[in-house]
Amino acid sequence: MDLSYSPEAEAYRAKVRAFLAANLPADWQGLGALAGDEAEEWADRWRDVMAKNGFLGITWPKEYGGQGLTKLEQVVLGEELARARVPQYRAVDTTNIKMLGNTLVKWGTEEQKQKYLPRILSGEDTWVQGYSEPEAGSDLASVHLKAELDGDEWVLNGQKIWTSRGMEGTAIFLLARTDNTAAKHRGITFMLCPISTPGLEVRPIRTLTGVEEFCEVFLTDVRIPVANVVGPVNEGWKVANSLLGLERGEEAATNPIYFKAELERVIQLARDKGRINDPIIRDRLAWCHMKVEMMRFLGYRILTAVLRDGALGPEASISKLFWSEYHQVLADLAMELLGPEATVREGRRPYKHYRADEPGAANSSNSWIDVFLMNARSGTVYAGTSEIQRNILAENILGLPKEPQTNS
Amino acid sequence: MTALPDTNPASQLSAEMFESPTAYAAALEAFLSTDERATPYLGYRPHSLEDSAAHLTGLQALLFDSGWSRLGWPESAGGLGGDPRFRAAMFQTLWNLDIPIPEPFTTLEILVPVLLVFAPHLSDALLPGLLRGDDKWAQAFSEPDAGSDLASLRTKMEPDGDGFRLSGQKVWSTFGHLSQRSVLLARSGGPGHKGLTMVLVDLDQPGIEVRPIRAEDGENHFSEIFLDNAWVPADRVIGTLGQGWAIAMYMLQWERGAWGWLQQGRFHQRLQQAVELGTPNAEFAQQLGHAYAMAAALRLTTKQTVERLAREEQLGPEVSVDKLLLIDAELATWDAIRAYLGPRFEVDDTLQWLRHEYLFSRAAPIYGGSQEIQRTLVAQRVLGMPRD
Amino acid sequence: MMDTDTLDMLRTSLRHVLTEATNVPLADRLGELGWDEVVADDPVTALHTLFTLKGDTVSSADALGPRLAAALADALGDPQLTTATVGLESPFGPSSLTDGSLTVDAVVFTPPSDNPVVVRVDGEHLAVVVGSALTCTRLTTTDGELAQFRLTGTVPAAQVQCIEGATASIAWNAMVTHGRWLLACELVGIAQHVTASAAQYTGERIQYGKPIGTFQALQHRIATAHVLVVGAARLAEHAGHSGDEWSALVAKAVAGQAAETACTQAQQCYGAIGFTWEHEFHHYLRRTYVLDRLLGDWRSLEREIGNELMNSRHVPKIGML
Ligand SMILES: Cc1cc2nc3c(=O)[nH]c(=O)nc-3n(C[C@H](O)[C@H](O)[C@H](O)COP(=O)(O)OP(=O)(O)OC[C@H]3O[C@@H](n4cnc5c(N)ncnc54)[C@H](O)[C@@H]3O)c2cc1C
Ligand SMILES: Cc1cc2nc3c(=O)[nH]c(=O)nc-3n(C[C@H](O)[C@H](O)[C@H](O)COP(=O)(O)OP(=O)(O)OC[C@H]3O[C@@H](n4cnc5c(N)ncnc54)[C@H](O)[C@@H]3O)c2cc1C
Repeated sequence: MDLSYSPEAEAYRAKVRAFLAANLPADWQGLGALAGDEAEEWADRWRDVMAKNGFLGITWPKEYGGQGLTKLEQVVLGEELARARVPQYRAVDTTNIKMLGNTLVKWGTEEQKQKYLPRILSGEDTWVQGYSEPEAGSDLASVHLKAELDGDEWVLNGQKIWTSRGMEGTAIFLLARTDNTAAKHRGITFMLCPISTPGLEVRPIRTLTGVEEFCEVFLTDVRIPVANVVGPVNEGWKVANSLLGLERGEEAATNPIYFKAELERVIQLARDKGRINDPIIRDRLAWCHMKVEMMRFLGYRILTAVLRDGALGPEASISKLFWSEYHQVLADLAMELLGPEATVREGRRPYKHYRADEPGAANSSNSWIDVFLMNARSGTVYAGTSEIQRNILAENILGLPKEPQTNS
Repeated sequence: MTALPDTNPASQLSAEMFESPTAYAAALEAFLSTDERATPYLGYRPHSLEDSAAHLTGLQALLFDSGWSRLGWPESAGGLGGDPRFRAAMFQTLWNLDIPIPEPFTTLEILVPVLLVFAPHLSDALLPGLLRGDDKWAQAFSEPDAGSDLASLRTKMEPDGDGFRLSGQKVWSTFGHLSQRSVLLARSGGPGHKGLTMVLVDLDQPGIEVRPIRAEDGENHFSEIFLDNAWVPADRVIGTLGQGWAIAMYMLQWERGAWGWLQQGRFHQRLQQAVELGTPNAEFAQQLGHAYAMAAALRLTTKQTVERLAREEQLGPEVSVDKLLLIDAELATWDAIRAYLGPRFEVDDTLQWLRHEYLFSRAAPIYGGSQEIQRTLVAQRVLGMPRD
Repeated sequence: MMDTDTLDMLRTSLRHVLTEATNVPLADRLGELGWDEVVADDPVTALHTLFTLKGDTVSSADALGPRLAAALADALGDPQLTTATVGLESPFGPSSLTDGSLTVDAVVFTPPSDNPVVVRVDGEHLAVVVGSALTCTRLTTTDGELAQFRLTGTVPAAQVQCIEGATASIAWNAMVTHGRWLLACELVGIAQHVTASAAQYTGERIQYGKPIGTFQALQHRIATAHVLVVGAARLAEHAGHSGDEWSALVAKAVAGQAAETACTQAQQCYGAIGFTWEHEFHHYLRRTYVLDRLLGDWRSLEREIGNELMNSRHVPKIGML
């Protein structure tokens, strides 16, 4: 494990710091300090500032609007933004920049890269993820969305579900079934589809916190040009999976920074509630601190492996399990500290629906109620459930025999 | 009301004790805490498993001769009548007074109810000796290659004259090296459940070798039993040939249900020990509170099970819930005691016995059908979740 | 004691009463069933049945409020208080009594209108004041459907009736004990429903070509919840029959934990659908959350148990053969 960064990366860090110093308000507390809509608006504006100054998609080649930098600079940028308590981008950019943008960089045709990447950075296009279907959740490789070739168009019929922030999307990337006869992983194709295409309908689904966060997407005779296929036809599974790994490196390095900020809020909550000297609470806070530190070092290892070998080490597969299960304990603790207050909704709700609320968020009950009910609890479901993660860990990393039941 | 049978003159039993387990328990508690013959057992701390076995045989004799341990067993088998709640009340009373339950009593609770139904000729003849501690039995089911998957066991049982010959190997038989006989499950027929038969075999014979196995607390808790053409007469077959699996399943309601009641008494007693020994400390309040709550949940759940057994209801797969609660309660109890007593728990010479019990508590998720097996049973057989 | 047929009939009519869409208060609708006689006849079975079913159906009707008042009235031997509203601990601060006046901050489930309101000022003092003297505001709660109101106001001492000393603390504890038992029953009802529904769902949901309920990971999750739920159910039954403070304390501690465990395990088995408003599950999750925090959440009750064991150096046994 090597904890020092290259001189180039450190120079980049200085540049980021200078940018932040010049562009952030002097009394900046973090997005969490802003009330509801204000936070959304600020995040939108901030994204423009980031884009104009060349801090979005920095690992993308310059000809498509990127900066041609390495993964390490991406991590440095993530670290500095986290420290400065500013988001990297809007919530929806997770699927937009991180998932689709990076997929196109790796798999897109020259034409696709030229067409889409600059529009992603400028905010003209916003991509949302259409993988899951009602009958294809954990077993994603069984996607049914039917794609039939008709001349130089694919005709799509079927349904997607759980599309996060689907209402904000201008376009959706899809996994579609293009070959019914092949083994299930082999007949899938990765496709691009503007939301405005005739025959495509988006319906919001209310989440248990009462907000409209994810969507169903219905496709009836939706026609898209063959040019909208990313990667080879029938190799969509490979396309979709190829990025998972490399993203985890960056996430593993920056997650602990956000979790640390969140833990500090909980420690403050314990102080505010006069529970800071309670031995049981102290034990649990110390436990959380240890977990965050473990995540930090785990992050370093994952990152080192990615930078050195260009591939993920075995540590990466425990990262998702580790943070998602940790986060549920942390959220329980916050709710316990709130005491009876946790039953009454007060203050602003989190701006994001994943992981920690934004830095600077007040210890209001609403911040924690939604983190507890939605963000923390759903962490063990989305992006591969804990059960699936454990199966992978046991079978692929530890070499345990395959579960007899999933051989099919 | 039951007429008082002919009991030993030393008996202090009276007719009213037969009316309710509560009255019986109160009288037994009075007897044990005042009669000087019981004194050596109050708060008894064994030095070793063998010492304890020898010492507690005296207690068994005392309880039998004065009639107390005969309640809850049918008169035909040398008991004094009354339902199993009286046995449960005796165990609770022993724990209340910090008297360790002699190991043969726990074996009895599991094996004898089966004999009463499937081989009354054996229980009639042998129960008194067993109750009194003159005779000690083991249970030999598990084999090196047949643990959770018990039905795959291979010990062979073949007819020979007016009996059978047994060959094979058994393992993990609790108290095997201190026992004269063992209930044993063997393969008398073809593969699968239908080929199994249960017998009562004498261990003291040339074809059998019993080797104790030291457990992690340093004591010889269980044994390996090697059988080489060992002899078992035909009248020692429990039930009929091929009925072994069905009988083993019948046994489970006692092994999982009645056993749980017996153990909750111990958990409450040990928590009592801990609060007497420890210094109040808010840091451990929740851990102790949780252990107690689990022990209380176990107590009420197994109380209902004992009452159902007393009404001679046939219990189904729901007894696995009792076993699973036992596991939770046992682990939580010893974790809490260890945390609460702190360094003293680890080093105090007078607490060696408690450390042994701690180590032994770790076996709870394994013996009598592992935690995983029980959870699967609850999911599929109680909650109706699908099987593959 | 109720026989099985009567009990079955009672269950059917209660289920109907709890699930019908109406604005008529629960008490009035129960009145039409002849509920008062049923309760007078066999209070333990009647109330156990009502609250367990209330949990099972996540009914938002206020059944608890009137029972708390009845328990308090009974303990104080003051039948007039049966129509009172008991003000429980407010998240915003305590009620206080100074020489000149009573300042109220309390939470109730039904607006008191001009009925008396009883609040606890401290361990030794209860104050009774007419509801119309207080301001009543509906709270936005985590549950959302179970109505809770905050009562606030300052009332001159002359309009306050004060109950003091041991009488006050004994009566309040009796009310808390009664409430904990009923909440334990309701939480058990929730936990049983959630466990059974999740078990059923896993039998229907197909992934990898088979019901997900065949995966041991999920079987063991649900079984783990079920075991705790059975223990909680036995404790709640016992707390009803014994009526003692300690049994109710332990029953509510285990019931809260069982309901929370059931929700956590079930939600994981549901996957994404368990995070929607459209599926019934979220009602149970949010209800569990709020009920657990009434009259002491399970963690603080476990602590209360542990502290009592350590300080009294005595480990009591619940339930005799
Ligand atoms: C907040 C949130 C946001 C999401 N956003 C998106 C999005 O933007 N785009 C998108 O495409 N999808 C999205 N999803 C969907 C997500 O990817 C799926 O929920 C996930 O893949 C699980 O699928 P499922 O919900 O159908 O659950 P199921 O697959 O039905 O799983 C139900 C339960 O069965 C278990 N299970 C399944 N298979 C096995 C097995 N082999 N062994 C053991 N246990 C098993 C699971 O672990 C789980 O506990 C989102 C989900 C959530 C909760
Ligand atoms: C203290 C103690 C006393 C005992 N006394 C006796 C006795 O008197 N007489 C007697 O006959 N036996 C006795 N046993 C043996 C006991 O019955 C076995 O240990 C038990 O049945 C488990 O078998 P095993 O040890 O071979 O473990 P295995 O069956 O090898 O199990 C190993 C692990 O695999 C898991 N496993 C196995 N199958 C499955 C499955 N289908 N699904 C999920 N997980 C599974 C188990 O849960 C366990 O975690 C005793 C054991 C102990 C610890």
